[in-house]
Parts: sequence; C-alpha cells; structure tokens
Amino acid sequence: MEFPLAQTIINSLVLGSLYVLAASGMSLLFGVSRIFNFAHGEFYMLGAFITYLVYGLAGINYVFALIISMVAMGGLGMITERLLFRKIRGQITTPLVLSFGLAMLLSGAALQIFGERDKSVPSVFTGKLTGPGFSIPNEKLGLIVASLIIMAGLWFYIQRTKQGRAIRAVAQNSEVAKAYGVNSNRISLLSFGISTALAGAAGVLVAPVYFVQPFMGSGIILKLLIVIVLGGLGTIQGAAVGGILLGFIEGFSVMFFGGLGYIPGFVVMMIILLVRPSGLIGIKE
Amino acid sequence: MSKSRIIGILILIGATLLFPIFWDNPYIVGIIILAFISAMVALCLRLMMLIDLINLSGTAFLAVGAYSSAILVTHIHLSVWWGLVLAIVVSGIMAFLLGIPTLRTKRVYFIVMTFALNEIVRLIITHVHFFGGAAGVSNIPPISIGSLEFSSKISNYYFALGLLLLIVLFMARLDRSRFGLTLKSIRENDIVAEAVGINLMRYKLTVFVIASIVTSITGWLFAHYFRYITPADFGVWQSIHYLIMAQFGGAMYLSGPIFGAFFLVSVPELLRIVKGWEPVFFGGAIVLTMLFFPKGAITIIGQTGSAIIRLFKRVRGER
Repeated sequence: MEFPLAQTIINSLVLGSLYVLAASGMSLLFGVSRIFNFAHGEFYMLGAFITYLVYGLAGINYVFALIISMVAMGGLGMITERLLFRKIRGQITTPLVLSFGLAMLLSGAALQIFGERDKSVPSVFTGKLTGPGFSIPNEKLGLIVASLIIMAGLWFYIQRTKQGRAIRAVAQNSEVAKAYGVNSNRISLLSFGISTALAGAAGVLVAPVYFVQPFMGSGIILKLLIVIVLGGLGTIQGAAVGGILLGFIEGFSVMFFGGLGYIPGFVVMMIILLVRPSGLIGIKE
Repeated sequence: MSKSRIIGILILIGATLLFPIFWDNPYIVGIIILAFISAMVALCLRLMMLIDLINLSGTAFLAVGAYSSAILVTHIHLSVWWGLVLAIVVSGIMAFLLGIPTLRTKRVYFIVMTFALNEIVRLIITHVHFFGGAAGVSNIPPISIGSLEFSSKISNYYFALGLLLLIVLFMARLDRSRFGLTLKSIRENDIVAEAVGINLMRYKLTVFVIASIVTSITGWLFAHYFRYITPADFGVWQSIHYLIMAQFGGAMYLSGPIFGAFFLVSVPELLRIVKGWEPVFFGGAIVLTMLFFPKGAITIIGQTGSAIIRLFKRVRGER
C-alpha cells in the first residue's frame, strides 16, 4: 500500500487547527495569570454540549449555538475567575489543584446530567471534497476555516486594540503594566473570559465532527498542555505554532507506529523544554 | 514534639491496629488498604513539594515498581523479594537518569516534564506487547515470607500498615535531619541556598530518586496486593489524584498527605448515598479547601482543635 501522504497531511491539519483553537485560550490565560487551568477542557466539553442542546436537540441555527456557547462559557469563566482564582492569585500549586477540583466538579456534573453515552450532533456541512489521493468531509474543512477565522479575529484583537495591548502588557510584565495604569484585575477577568469563550467555541466546532461526551475535556487537556509548551507558553502565536506542529507530529507518527505514535509528541516537547525553555516563540518566564 | 501529640499519634496507631479485629468487613478493609497505598504515594509527592517540585509522574514510578516485580515474578518465577529488589534498582536508575535532564527545568516546566514522563511510561506499558498490553499482567502471586502468605485482606492490611508506618518514620527522620533542613532552606530561597554552597541539583536529584524508589516500593505492594495490574491504573489523572491528596491534606505537614489520602479515598465511598454525584461533591470540596484553607484540610482540624481548647479555657476562666 502506498503511503497516503495527501490524506495524512489533511488529517494533521484538521487535528492541528482544533488544537490551535482549543489551546490559544489556555495559553493566553497562562501568559496573563501564570495559571495552568486544568478545567479548560471542561469548558470545551460544555461548549460541545451546548451545541448538542441548542443545535442538535432544539434544532436552532448553528451560528446561534456558537454565539450562545461563547457567551455562556465566557460568562462562566469570568465568574470562576472572580469567585475562585482571583483570591489565590500569584501562587502555583493552589490554583493548579483548585483547577483539578473544578475539572472534576464540571465533568462529574456533566456526566450526571447528560449520561456517559456518546452524543452525536448532525453535520452542518454535508458532502466531501475529493482530490488526488485524499478526501475530506466538508465539515472537517469547515473546522479548519472556522478556526482560521476565529484565530485571525483573536490576533487582531490582541495585536491591534487597546485592550489587547493591555493584555500583552500584563503578560510581559504585570508590575510595569500596573505602573502604567493598567487595571490588572480587569485584564485578568477579561483574559479568563476570552480564554473560556475560545474553549467553548472549539467545543462548538468539534461537536458535529466527533462525538460529544462528558470526558472529552479531560482527554484533550493533556494534548493542550503539550501544544502550549511546544509553541511557547503565554502567547497565541505560540499556541498556533504548537497546535499545528503537534497535529503533524501525531498525524504522521500515529500513521507509522499506531498507539506508540503518541510518544514522539511528548519527546519533542521535552527536548524543546530543555534546549529552549520558553518554547519556540514564547515569552520568558 | 509535645506530650499530647505523642499520645494522639499512639492512639491513632492503636486504633488502626485494632480496627480490623472489631470490624472485619472485607469491603471496608479493602478501602483502607487503598488509602494506605495512596498515602504512601502522596507522601513521596509531598517530599518533592517541600522544595517546590510539583511532580506529575507519581504513577509512572508506581507502574515501574508494579510492572518490574510482576513481570519478573510471573515470567521467571522468582520470589517476590527479588521482585522488590528489581523494583528498587530499576526505579532508582530510571529516576537518576531521567532526573538529570528533567530537574534542569523549573516550576511549571517541571510539572509539564513529569507529566510527559508519566504519559510516555503509560503509552509504553499499554502498547508494548512485553508488558501485557492493555490487558496488563494477571495472576501475580501474593507477598510471602517463607510459608506465610499475605493473600487475605486482613494480612495485607497489616502488611500495608507496617510499610506505611516505616515510610512515615523514614520521612519524619528525613524532615528533621540535616538533609531535611537543607531542603527547607532551598524552599525558602534557592538562590541564597545556592550562594552559600548548597549544590541544588544534587539535592533535587536525591529527593527525586528517594521519592521514586519509595513510590516504586509502593507499586510493588500494589501489584502483589491486587494481583492484577493494567495500564489504566497508571494514567496521568491518577497521578493528579495523588497530587491532590498531598496538597488537599496539606503538603507542608507530614500528616497532611495521609489525611488527604484517607479523605479522598474513603469519602467517595461514604458518599454513595448521593449516587453518581460524588465527583461533584469531591471537586467542590477540593475547590473550597484550596480557597479557604490553601495550607490544606489538616489545618482545619488544627484550627478547630485550638478553637475548642480556647472555648474550654474561657468557660473555665469565667467560672
């Protein structure tokens, strides 16, 4: 059998763009607050469930589901920041363990409410695109395009708006940013909300492509950790590079080695951490 | 140590010794054995947290101990004690070789490094045929001394309790030793510690190797108590669970991880009434404790205790 190069590249791109979108929020949040939010995957899971409810069951417009999910997850994220994470800012272990607890709480609640059975959400785009040596369902193509659009919007917001500049300033040096009159409480709240809204968006985009179930968050979070470290902690560009990179590493090595193919992703990450601790294009800690 | 604390500890040890004699329900005894095992792992993770190293590779070394002994004993039919020797040697060498690169990274990066380590070990034992694949290793013989076989729940209870007490004693000695004091100075200010001539890397490596070997010994017990191991027992989320036990109970105290292990193992069992909602209560308890008692749940007991004493004194004083 000939090696399906074109197909593997396409599959890697699909996987990569999912990773980019899901990880960008987590990376952004790490940059601002130095928190690894292990509950990030749960917001992604809840976003997918909102799609299941709004679009799958109630049959309302898909774009509406996307908006609802981003608003709801952003809101929930801000509430979490205000009530929980703000009180223990600046520490390392406590927020980490707190986010573990939050992840257990949210996935446990989802399990009880929705049950453990896989839910499927009807496709938004049917049909598929075929070319020489590959075929890609339109919904996966949609995932790539939508993820590109959202990432472009996020990039514009972070690079070109005043709020975005404040976020970058806090990420680079929160003390100096504070001295220049940036309200760090507001930035922390804002970045938490953006981060979880992005997780919710990723959940919406993934819902029609894969199954929706309560443990999807704890599955992807471990990948996201690799992604944000690979590219460089704390920046969305880092998450973009890391996501695509991990998509390709996994896409190809799983093709060759099966289950053991997940190891190279970890090994590459460990090597990068040793030679370039700030990742490929990350901020210095 | 104050007199009342010594008495308290002795009462606690006496109670755990007598417990299965009065209540030999195998289900309950099984849960407590699991709590003993979890406490051992959590204590090792706590040792690393003493110098701000948050280790997510707990179950990797648990797996190393469990698998090296289980495979040696089931394939070559040597005694379980050779399995223990192999578990110690393999984990010691592995921790030493892996510690040199991973310990060069700091703080969050070390968390991610150990997380990757844990996943790599899990993927290897899941997908390499030699380790039994996803089905794991079964028919592992129980621990035995001569003709004395630790196959019943009760006998394993006492064996695990004995091992736990040994580990606690060892950790307590370590805390008070010169070595332990040096660790404390590293935690307080590693730059100053390094400036006064403490070789940081050597201390970190020693702690990592000790923690890994003790975890591996626990893994050895794990394998020969359950007598059946699968890769599913050794995932990153299990590592996270052990880490939660240490931090939830209170990582700065020796009693913290033990309390955390007992609480997090037994409470879900007691919560059976809320059917299925355990993770929610559980996660909620962790969130609330981290929020209001970031030094650990064990401080709640201390604070309530001293509050009661204060109240008692006031009542007596007013009379």
